[in-house]
Amino acid sequence: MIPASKTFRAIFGSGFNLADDEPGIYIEACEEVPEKLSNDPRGRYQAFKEEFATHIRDSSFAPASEGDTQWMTDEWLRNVWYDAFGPEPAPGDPYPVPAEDWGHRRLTDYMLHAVNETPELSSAGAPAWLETRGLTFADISAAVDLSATQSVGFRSAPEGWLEHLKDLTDRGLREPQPGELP
Amino acid sequence: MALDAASGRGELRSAIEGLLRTCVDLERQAYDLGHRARGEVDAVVRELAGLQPPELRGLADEIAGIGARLGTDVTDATTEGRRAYLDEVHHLLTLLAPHHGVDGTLPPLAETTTLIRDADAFAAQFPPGFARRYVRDLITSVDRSVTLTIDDAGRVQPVPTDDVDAATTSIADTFDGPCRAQGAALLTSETSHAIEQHGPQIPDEAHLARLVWLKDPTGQDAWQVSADNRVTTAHWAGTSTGGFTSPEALAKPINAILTAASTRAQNLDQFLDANAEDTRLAIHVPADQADLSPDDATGYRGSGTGHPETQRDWIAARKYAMKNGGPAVHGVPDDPLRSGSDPGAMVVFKHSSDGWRLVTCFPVDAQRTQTKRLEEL
Repeated sequence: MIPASKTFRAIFGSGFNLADDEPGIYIEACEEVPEKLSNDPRGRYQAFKEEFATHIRDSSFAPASEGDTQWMTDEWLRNVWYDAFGPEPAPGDPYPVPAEDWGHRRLTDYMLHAVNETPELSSAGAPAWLETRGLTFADISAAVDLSATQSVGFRSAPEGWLEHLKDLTDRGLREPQPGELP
Repeated sequence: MALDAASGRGELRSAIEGLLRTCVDLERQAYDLGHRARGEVDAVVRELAGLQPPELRGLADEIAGIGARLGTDVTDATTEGRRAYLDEVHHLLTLLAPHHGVDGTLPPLAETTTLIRDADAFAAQFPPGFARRYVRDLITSVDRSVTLTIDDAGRVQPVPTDDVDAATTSIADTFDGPCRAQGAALLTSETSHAIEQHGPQIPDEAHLARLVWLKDPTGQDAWQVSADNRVTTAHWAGTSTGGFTSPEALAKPINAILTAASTRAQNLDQFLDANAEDTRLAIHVPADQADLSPDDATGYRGSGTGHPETQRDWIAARKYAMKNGGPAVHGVPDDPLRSGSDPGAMVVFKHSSDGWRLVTCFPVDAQRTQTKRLEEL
């Protein structure tokens, strides 16, 4: 699936890409997802979700700039997927994040921005968001403390990653990026 | 390396940062030493200059020459001495690259005398892509980082409502004739925080207090420091804060959109309807299409936040600092319209029951991934 469709770009590019600029817009985009999926007469949101999963599966979401790498881009997408759609990994994800990492050893943008120590200091949608994912305010707080001594961000690329990417590229599922195997 | 751990990546990053910091310190000390030596030699020269007889006058010029050469010699010795550090940085980058999922084989580093403070030129000596961006990001953060204490943030005064109102009026006045009423309506809409968070009335220190301690420049969102120095806030900000330096600059991107809407559709609502797939639409307005130039923007971005994975760690560090009273995170002063590779403004609209409303408008260094550009609409 290359390149991104018009629908995917319009939806992803109008909120899910903005956590670092405007956390409020990102949080709103994540909290709206259940309602958007249940009220989707033209199936656009479902199509967006399916294409999102395909980009994770095929590593076909190109890095934002030449200094970024496909692995870290995919790791970021896994976080956005979790924030938007919940704890089930994207269908077909070849490197799913261990379920027990989320909110404990791995913090996403929603957790970092929307979840503070109490519900009063957090986004109004945070209690429901946490409950859906089996997490608590105390879990996130503990993970923030852990972040002082170990990364709670992305994993490093696994063994065989470059060969895996080359295979996807050779099958025409994605465009090759700088620094990958020829 | 293990799939389930980032182990080793953080250590490699710290080592590279430490070596670059050493090089920056060396360069700074060499500059200071050369400067001081020249000052002392100049004092000697001034004394000699008054001397008679004539055959001694040439002596002053000779000594002045030594002073100038000394500065150059010190700089040369430093660039020679740091070579071993840079070779090590290069080596560590080859070890770090596979963690990021790119090939670790990097071309060798050329002989160099480029000063580190010329961050772009210095980083350009490293291979394009991952390594170059990584080095540039780290140099900028070790060389130019600033921060402020919780007490300093506490002393930053909220921008008075009158100043926000005055800014709104001046911005509305800058819209082109037919766009004036519509521009003013967008900016004063309840959904918009373009002026409140990115307006020209916000002083730099308020942008910094917002970045480091999440203090709302308007003072509307609650912000408190407890007796044990913990900071609680109801305000949100990402890895950069800042805004436009003049009313004209803030109005320009919105003006560009209104102008495009009036030529490509019947009105703004139709224009946005035709391009949106959802109830929100973000648009990248390139600087040249909005007539924005360097110095039209000001602000800060988090130190070392040039990569998606380091951004998460920086935000976690800020959250930790607020929860524990420190250590404060750092930011780098940044005008994204000057430093950016594809500068412009991000303008976000939201659809409500009575049509499209503005949410925000802020300067950016580059188009955000997947966001549509004005010329595509």
